[in-house]
Amino acid sequence: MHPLVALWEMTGRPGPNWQGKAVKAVAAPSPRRGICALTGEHGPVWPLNSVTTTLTTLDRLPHRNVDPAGCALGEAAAWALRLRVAMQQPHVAATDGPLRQATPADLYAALEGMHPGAWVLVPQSRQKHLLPWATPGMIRVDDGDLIWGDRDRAALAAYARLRAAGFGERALAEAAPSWVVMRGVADRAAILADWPLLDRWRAHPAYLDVAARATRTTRETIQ
Amino acid sequence: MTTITERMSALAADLGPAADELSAATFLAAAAYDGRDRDVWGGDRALTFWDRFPDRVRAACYRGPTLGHWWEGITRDLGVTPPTRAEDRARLARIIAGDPAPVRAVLAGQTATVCLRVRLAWQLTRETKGQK
Repeated sequence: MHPLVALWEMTGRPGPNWQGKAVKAVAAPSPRRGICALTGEHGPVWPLNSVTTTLTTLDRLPHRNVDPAGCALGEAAAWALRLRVAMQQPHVAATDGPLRQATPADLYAALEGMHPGAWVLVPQSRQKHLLPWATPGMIRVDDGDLIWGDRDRAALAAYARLRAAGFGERALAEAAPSWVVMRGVADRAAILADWPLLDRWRAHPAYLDVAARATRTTRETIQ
Repeated sequence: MTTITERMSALAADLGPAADELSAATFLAAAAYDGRDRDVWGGDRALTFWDRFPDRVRAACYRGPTLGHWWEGITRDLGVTPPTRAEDRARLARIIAGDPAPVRAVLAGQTATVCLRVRLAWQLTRETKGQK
């Protein structure tokens, strides 16, 4: 079974949100029997144009040529593509749990306890689909999947300590701590020891975005 | 008057021991900072010194392959006079005569860190002087 279908079932088989941003009530289009272009599952499907018209390429639908009646998407794929909040807010799911919107604390806990079946979605631009292309066990960001290992766990802890010491998200992307913060800090040795732990992330700033989303206070979080 | 060597010891006491090449690079930058031409770098220009210093430290790395080239470059750039104390002069000479590659790599690659350490060293020694 495709992992997205498994996640959809764990989440309680929610129907696609056909309403979207439309002001007038939208009737759900009627499905036909066919093969989903994203997951390859047989079952009720809707033509691609009924589900979304905003995909810029069909290359990422691996089973797009399988159904002789044309490219179509099943229930799980339609749900994933029409779940707008998953494009905008971080989401997490444990191996056997439903997909849910994550607060910074939830996201931090999910990153700390990252395991091969976990789903973690962290939107950056708020404009890209993450859920349909996500891989369990990796962190999905706008342009790809990030591997998350022990070194990243250690770096996340260092990131949280540095945030608590008074460094902002932008300051942490710099090569050295800023003097303005540094001169007021008591334990400078700890700061300078933590700083190089983020060097790998500075070369791949998507990691810094993920850590930033996981360490924000509620006040800093746009809902 | 506090010597550069004393300031470096105060820095090591506060931050813990650093790698040899980082200590050497910090000492070089500290010697350049300490000996800068204060007629040029005083007044309003002192306000922007720390914004300009890292670029000059990095630029001096491209004067040539040895640390002698680096010191020559930064000396011309900032109008540096050599250290006045014998122990500082001796340490500077030892570093310049040593293996240039690792120290140059730090000066060019971790410029911001080196400059921050110099600034911290001066702040630390200023604080201890004030406490006396």
